[in-house]
Amino acid sequence: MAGEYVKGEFNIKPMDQFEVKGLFSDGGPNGIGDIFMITNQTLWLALTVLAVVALMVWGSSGRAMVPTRMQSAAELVYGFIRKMVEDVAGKDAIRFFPYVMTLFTFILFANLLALIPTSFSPTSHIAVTGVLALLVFGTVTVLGFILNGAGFLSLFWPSNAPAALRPVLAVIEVISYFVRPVSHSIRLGANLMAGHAVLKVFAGFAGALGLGAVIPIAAITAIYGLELLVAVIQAYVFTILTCVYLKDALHPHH
Amino acid sequence: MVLGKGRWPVSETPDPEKLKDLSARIEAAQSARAPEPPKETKYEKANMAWQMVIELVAGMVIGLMIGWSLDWLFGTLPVFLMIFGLLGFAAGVKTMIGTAKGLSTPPGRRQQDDPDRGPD
Repeated sequence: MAGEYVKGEFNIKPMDQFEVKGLFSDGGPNGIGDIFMITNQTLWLALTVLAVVALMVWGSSGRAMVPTRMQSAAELVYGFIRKMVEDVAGKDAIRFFPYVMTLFTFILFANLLALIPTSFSPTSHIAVTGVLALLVFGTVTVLGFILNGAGFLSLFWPSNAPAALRPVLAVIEVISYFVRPVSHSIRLGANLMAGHAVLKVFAGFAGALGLGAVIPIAAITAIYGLELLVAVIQAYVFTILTCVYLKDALHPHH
Repeated sequence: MVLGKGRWPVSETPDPEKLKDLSARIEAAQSARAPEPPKETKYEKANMAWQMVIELVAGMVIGLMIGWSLDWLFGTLPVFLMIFGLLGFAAGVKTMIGTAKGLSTPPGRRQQDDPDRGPD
């Protein structure tokens, strides 16, 4: 798939950057036998985790009364997510704060590290975001049944609708419940992928225009700023949706 | 007279007038410090629009998938496909309307919608 890059021509191959390649072998993973292959995906997922650890463990291990810059950033993130969980999912949802915090920091750093030139963006793959969304979906569903028993099903039962319509509406509710993980994952993955592809398209123009390359480079700069915004907002959106779903699991009757 | 933690004399029954005044002042201070409701930028609106499209399509696809599987199970090809296609569409529209509602209420107000929400 990766074609030759010819100097002085349009080299617009925006999707090449999403290719999963082995770091120590040619080509990408092929079949179940390559499940433990170390790829660029593995590398950047690991770097994401390292970045989170660097901020939350190393950065705030000083536990100073007057925080350093790193510590204060870590505390800011902590306070922000804690408040979000409290406000959106309710006070009793605070026991799920570690999970929500993990999700946020992981997605945030994966998105931000993906903005480093020549890096790989794990969260632009629906496979990654899909797993994250399915984990949230599974957790919330199982949790709902554990905490509320069969009462969780009242989430799908429209008690204030005419009796004849209720079964039909219940089916609609169930289907729209299953829409959640789909939109949850596609939203994050598609946003990231689109942004990075656009960057590459403009970069492809820049190679062929000579002095005129100033224009696409300026555009890249602007889009890069937008992508920074997207990276943070999409992490935030993913997290807040998780909180909304958690609220439904804790309090299905409303 | 009892000495409070701060070494100030504390009367046994707090003065209701003073308490009211204090709570009014606390409220004023809190509302002054409350962050402004985040503005919906153009980017966020486009984002919402995409979200709605995804929800609509996902609803229909899931409905069609359920319908097709039921047909495959019972060997009645077009029947359930049609029914669940429509139901899926309705589900997509329902989720979409939910997203649109979230768009029309200011973000700060969304939590006060159901004050009787609590553990049950």
